[in-house]
Amino acid sequence: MSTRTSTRGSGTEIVGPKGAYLTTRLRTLGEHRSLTAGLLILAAVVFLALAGENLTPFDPTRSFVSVGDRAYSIPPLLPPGSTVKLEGQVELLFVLGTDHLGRDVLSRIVSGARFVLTVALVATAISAAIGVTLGLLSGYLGGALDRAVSLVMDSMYAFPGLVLAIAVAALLGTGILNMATAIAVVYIPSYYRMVRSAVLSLKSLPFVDALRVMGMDTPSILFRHIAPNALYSIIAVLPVNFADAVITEAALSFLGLGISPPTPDWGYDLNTGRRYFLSGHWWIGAFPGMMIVLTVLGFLLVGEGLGERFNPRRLIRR
Amino acid sequence: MGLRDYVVKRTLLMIPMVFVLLTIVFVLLRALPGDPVTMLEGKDIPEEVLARRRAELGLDQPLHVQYLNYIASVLRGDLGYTALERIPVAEYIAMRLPATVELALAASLLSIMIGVALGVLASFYKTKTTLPVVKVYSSVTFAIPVFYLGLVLQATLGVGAGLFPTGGRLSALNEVELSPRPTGFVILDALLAGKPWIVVDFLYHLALPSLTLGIYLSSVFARVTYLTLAEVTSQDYFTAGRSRGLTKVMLVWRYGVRNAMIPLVTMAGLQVAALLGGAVLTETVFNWPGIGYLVYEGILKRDYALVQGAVTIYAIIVAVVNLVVDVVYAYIDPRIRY
Repeated sequence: MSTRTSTRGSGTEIVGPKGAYLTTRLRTLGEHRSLTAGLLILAAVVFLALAGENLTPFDPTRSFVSVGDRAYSIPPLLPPGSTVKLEGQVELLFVLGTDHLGRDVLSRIVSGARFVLTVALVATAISAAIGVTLGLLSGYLGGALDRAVSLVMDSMYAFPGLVLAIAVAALLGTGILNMATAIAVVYIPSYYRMVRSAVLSLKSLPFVDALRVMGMDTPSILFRHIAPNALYSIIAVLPVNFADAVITEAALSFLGLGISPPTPDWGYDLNTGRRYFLSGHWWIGAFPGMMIVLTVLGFLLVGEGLGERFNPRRLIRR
Repeated sequence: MGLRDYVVKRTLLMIPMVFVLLTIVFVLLRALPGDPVTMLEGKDIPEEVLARRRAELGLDQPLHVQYLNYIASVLRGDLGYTALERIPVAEYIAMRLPATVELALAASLLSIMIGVALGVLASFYKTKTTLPVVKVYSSVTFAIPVFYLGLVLQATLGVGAGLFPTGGRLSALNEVELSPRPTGFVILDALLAGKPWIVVDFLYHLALPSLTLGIYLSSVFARVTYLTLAEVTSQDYFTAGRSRGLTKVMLVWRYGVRNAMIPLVTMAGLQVAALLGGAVLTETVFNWPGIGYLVYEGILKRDYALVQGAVTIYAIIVAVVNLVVDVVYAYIDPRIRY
């Protein structure tokens, strides 16, 4: 494997130690930059999810505003940046416009963060818990159990994840836990495969033999000594899976398998906006969509950054 | 072992995989909490009616009997009846399958073309910025949900620029014009009927959906092509070829891209799941009358038999495509056959 200091390509380009130092520095700076950018995006989205309705200018589920003891209905389909003057010289600004029912789009995308993130978090937790446990047991114990579980997991892995999630979600119905379960089913095989292969290479290392000679029982070896080492392999994948879970959640909501209205949700709002997209009222769907893209990018950047940190071999060989 | 023996062996190995997939479908749909009959009929229906429906569908039987019934009926090609019109689900799906195949083929072709072109260009003009370009492209195309990408293309290239139609498989007139459809595939049927202008109309309608799905899938191919070419071009034989006066274009094309074929085919095989999943969303956005759109209709109409039938068909498609990919793989690289 060529390292930074060896000759590359045609052999004329020899990178000296000093150059290697500089390029590595520059590159790690780049890597840190992606990690930092990702974390900043995520911090912002998580902040939105936590603050939710306390932050929004309007109630995301209502199409009227109460000023004093009077309620004024908000006109629907206002373009971004519209202002509405009420009687008492109060001026309302709709930064991102209003949707077909006269609800403020900005308020909806801000409070929409909560549901998506909760579902993605629960889904990732469920799939990681099941996938890791199965991977540990299957990899360490081997034998018929390993073959059977591997066959099932490989088949699930080959199956279109979204279709699997649709089938489960259609049966379970809406709600945070049901949606999370439907999404979790998709990602169990990836955790299983990763952890299993890590365990397979770990269990042949001398320290496992040493532990066994010292008289330690199998559960302790597996869960106290092998598991912590095997878990390194999934750290960099967690954010990527989280990103994928966000997309799957949006897709399920988009197909009408998400939360019931009027609770704000990006995927659902994107589906609503779909009908108005082509008639020129693009803002109803465009902004929820951008929030999905931004959130997913945040997770991807974090994943990329973590991948470089936890997998130093990738820095050497590219 | 010759190629023929390998194909036979691999085909036999497909059978357990189909069984496992069908079992997974069964376990997910029947053993999880949630009652298909309540989902279908609604919660306000009296218990007697629900019980009668359950008996009709065989859902009152113990699970292992249900499982055997399910497997037996799938083997007979019987996927049950749709809830509203009482049409056999298998017939419904057979009607919709060609549209999905058309979209999937067009999208795969486009995604490989876009991906390989991007990868080759990036590695050919190798500077410090090309890797980031490929990386950014693949991150961004990963981050944009395929249905959002579809909407954006509809709004820009479809309505905005007026270049392509935004939905359907044919314009209404041609939909009527092409009335006997022996194969179900528009291109074949149009040519058989001697109406080549319908093919043009079809390609117009196919443009946006296949571009959407193609862009969605292309990032992986771009990455793989770029990384493989980067490795190939740093090999000694590449330098040797250069020193003997072969041009860079010739080397990349004749030696680089060929070497990149094997990882590309592997990737193409792994992408089938993503392709079918993405097709559900793309078909929904573009009203493309395939199996994915059928799944969406099944969800909207709460037609459980339709969703289950479609999922079953997906299981079979996945197994078959895996087989095809493995055979192609063995054809390209003779070392695989053992």
